[in-house]
This record gives sequence, structure tokens and C-alpha cells, in this order.
Amino acid sequence: MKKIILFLLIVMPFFSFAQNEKVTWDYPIKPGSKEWLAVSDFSKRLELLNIPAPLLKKMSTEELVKSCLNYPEYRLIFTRNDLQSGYNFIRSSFNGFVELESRPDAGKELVKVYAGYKPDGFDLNATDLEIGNFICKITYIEILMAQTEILNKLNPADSKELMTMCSQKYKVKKDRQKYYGGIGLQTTALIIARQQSKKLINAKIKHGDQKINAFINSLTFDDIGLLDDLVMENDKILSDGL
Amino acid sequence: MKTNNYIFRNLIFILFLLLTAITANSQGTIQTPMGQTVSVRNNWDTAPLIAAWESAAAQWIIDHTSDAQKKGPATSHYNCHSYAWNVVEGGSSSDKWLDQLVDGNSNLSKYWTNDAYTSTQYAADHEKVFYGADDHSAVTTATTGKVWSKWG
Repeated sequence: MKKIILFLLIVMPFFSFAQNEKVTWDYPIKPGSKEWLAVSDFSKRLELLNIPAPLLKKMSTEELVKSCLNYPEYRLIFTRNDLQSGYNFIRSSFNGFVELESRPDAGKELVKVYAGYKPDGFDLNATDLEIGNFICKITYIEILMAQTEILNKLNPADSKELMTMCSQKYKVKKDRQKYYGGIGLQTTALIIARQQSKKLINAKIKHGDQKINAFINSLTFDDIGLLDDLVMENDKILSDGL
Repeated sequence: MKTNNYIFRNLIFILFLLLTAITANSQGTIQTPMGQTVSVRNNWDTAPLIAAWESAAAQWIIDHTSDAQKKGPATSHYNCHSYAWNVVEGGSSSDKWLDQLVDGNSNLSKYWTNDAYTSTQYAADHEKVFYGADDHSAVTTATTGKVWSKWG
């Protein structure tokens, strides 16, 4: 009996370590590398970026969020007609997004990361490329958070926190519209539009259901005023405690 | 006096019609070769975004050792559909983002519905290709398998 206890005392710390080991995925085969170029088929190359299934299931949601945001082919979202179509494409190529969408705490973890994104956090003297890359990073996290599978899993408190955050960040972006343009503003408004879609009565009266739905579904808009109105109505919903 | 009023009222009406026509045009429509109206949307890009897209596209070509050739600068003034069906034919490239559907209704397909283009199984040089499943358009070249198109 003493031997068994002694054995457990020796083994248990190792077991706990194994349980708590941080599983990470930093894309061992990077685009442009020798191993990458050895595969000629485009879709097979994208498969090289996938997280092996046993690792994927062991990864914490926190680590999975990091891997998704660092997905090397995130840039492909700009090659489609709209950012949702772009996201649909990279989601169909990378298993990390599919797994993240299935995690009940995906939204919560994303909100934590998103809180650290400051839309005015770029140097006004920086080059266009530096500012553009900065804006793209915000676009990446926002289009991910705007997925209904992720938004639907937020609890009311986290949802309220996110809506407050989106309004604040939108206004900061709006003050820098010269840099963000409608493309940089749209994803913040999209999160709001999708999460508050049932409560956007005034925006629907003013712009019509069809225009609001077109924006929610495929980010179609003719007028930045529509985005402004969504944010304004979000503020009202929050202040009325609805 | 009555005559003056009549002329004035009609002048106002004509000016109103002209203004409506100009406004409608600036709000986003173009014409197919046979005169059907197609809706287009405005550009919302900025210099920093263009710089980021240019860099990403150039890096993508390197990462994939792609033989894609850059034909023009990045822009969100027009998309693949507008490039293939409008810009290549000499149409305006300013604020001309052309969606396949508008409010769920046909928009792009007007080009080949009772219009100048007909569907064919074999594409020769400088013809249009519409990839329905991918929501994409391109223009063929003399080389089989090579097309000109716009990313995004």
C-alpha cells in the first residue's frame, strides 16, 4: 500500500503537468517555406496549415483564438466579393475556425482579446502600409467575432460588454475615418447589427428591412450613415437597458 | 403672364427630371451594352488599406511562387464582376462595385439575359467567364487556362 502511495506521489506531479501543458499551434510549415512549396496543389497547401485533430481538441480556447488570429492566409478574406464571403472561404479551408465556432467560450475569449485592440493605437506618422496592416488586424478579429455561431454563445453580460466596446471602438474609428474608410468601419457595425438585429427598430424604419438585412448578410451598404445609425441605435438600446 | 407661368413650371419640371437623372446616375447605375440598368456601389477604401492589400497580394505571389501578373493597383472602386463586364470594355472604374444580386434580384446576369452576351461552352480570347459557385468573373486570354480578373 505504501508503495502505491509512494508511486502516486512520484507520478502525480508529472500527470498534472501533462494535463496543464499548454498546447499551441504556430504553423510549423509557413507559406513560402520549402515544405510548403513542395506541395503544388493550392488546396493541399492550405491543408498544411490545419491543426492536427488530437492537438486541436486539446487546445484551450485562449490558444485557439491566438492561432486563428495568426492564420497565415487570413489575407484571403479580401479576395472575395465581401468580407463574409472571404471568411466563409478561409473557414472552409482551416479547421481552427470551425473548432473555434463550436467552443462555448469562443466569444468570451475573443472579447478579452478584442478589449486590448485600440483603433487609435497607430502612429499618425506611420507609413500607409503600417497603418493599413494595423487596420486589417482589427478587421480580422471583428469579422471572426461577427459570426453568429460565436455571438449566439455569449451570455447577456458578455454580450452587453461587447456591444459597449463596439460602440466605443466605432466612434474612435469614425474620428479616423480618413484611415479606416467604410471598409474599416463596417466590421464593427456588423457585430452590432448581427447581435442587436431584433432590436434595430429605428434603423429598419429609416433604411428599410432589406438594406439592414443586406448589410447583415453580405456587408452591402451604400451610405456610411447606415453604419452610424446602427451604432446610434445600439447606444440607445444599451442606455435603455433593453 | 399665364404663358410665363407655364414655361416656368415646365422648366422647373425639366430641371427636376434632369436632377433626378443625374442623381440616379451618381448613386450607382451603369448600362449593359443593350441599355439595361445595372446597379453599382461606391468605393470605401483608403490609402492605408490599398497599401496593405498591395503588400498582401505581392507577398501571396511570392509565398505561392505564383505566375500571376499584377495588372493594376489595388482598389475597391470596382470588383471582379465590374472589371470583367464593365471596366475592360471601357466603362468607368470609379465607384463601380457590381454585385451579382441586388436585394436578391438579378443584377449581373442582365449582361447575358436578352442582351449583348450569350452563353457558350467554349471561350475564345477576350470573352467573359462567370464562375457562379464562386461569385467571380474574369476575362479570357489567348492562353487556355489563363484569365485576367480582379481579386476581390
